[in-house]
Amino acid sequence: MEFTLLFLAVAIVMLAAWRGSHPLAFGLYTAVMIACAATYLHHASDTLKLSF
Amino acid sequence: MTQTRAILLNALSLYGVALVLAAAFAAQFVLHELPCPLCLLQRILFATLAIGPILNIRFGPRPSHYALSLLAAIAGAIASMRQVLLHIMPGDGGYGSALLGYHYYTWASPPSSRSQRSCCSTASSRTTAQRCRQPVPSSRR
Repeated sequence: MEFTLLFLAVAIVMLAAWRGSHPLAFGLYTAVMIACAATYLHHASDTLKLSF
Repeated sequence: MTQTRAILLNALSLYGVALVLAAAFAAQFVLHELPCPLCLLQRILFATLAIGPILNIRFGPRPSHYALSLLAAIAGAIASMRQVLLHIMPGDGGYGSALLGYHYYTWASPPSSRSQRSCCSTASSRTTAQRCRQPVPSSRR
């Protein structure tokens, strides 16, 4: 679910970059990168399942 | 470089990102390769990589736009290197199928693929060396 939201957020940033203003695109980009880092850190603590 | 050529290269890079994402989604929906969270994160960061070229095409090339793409590329490389390191143990089959001998997350991070190849070759040569050059017990010397 959080990945669907992230994909949607990136799509919104792309739209803002194309149609919106410069500061809006930069602000949304920053928000998406923070969300990506938070998602990475959340999954970085997942249990490692070795496949061998 | 002229501005027209820079915009052309940025447009080509957008096609490249689209191609990578299309290949990833084709692997998921055609080959039924279910992505893990790190794979999805790498796809998202590939999509984020496209924002810099979009801004370059829309507002003209600027260093700050390239910085956005560079930041997304570094974040993507961190995610893919993390996944490479999760599967670096000898005997690990990796996650999903391989393309030309490398898994998708290895392809996603060219620097890490080179370092992984060198690490694996070092590891395999070390095991061969350990097998071939067993230390001779001192009593036999």
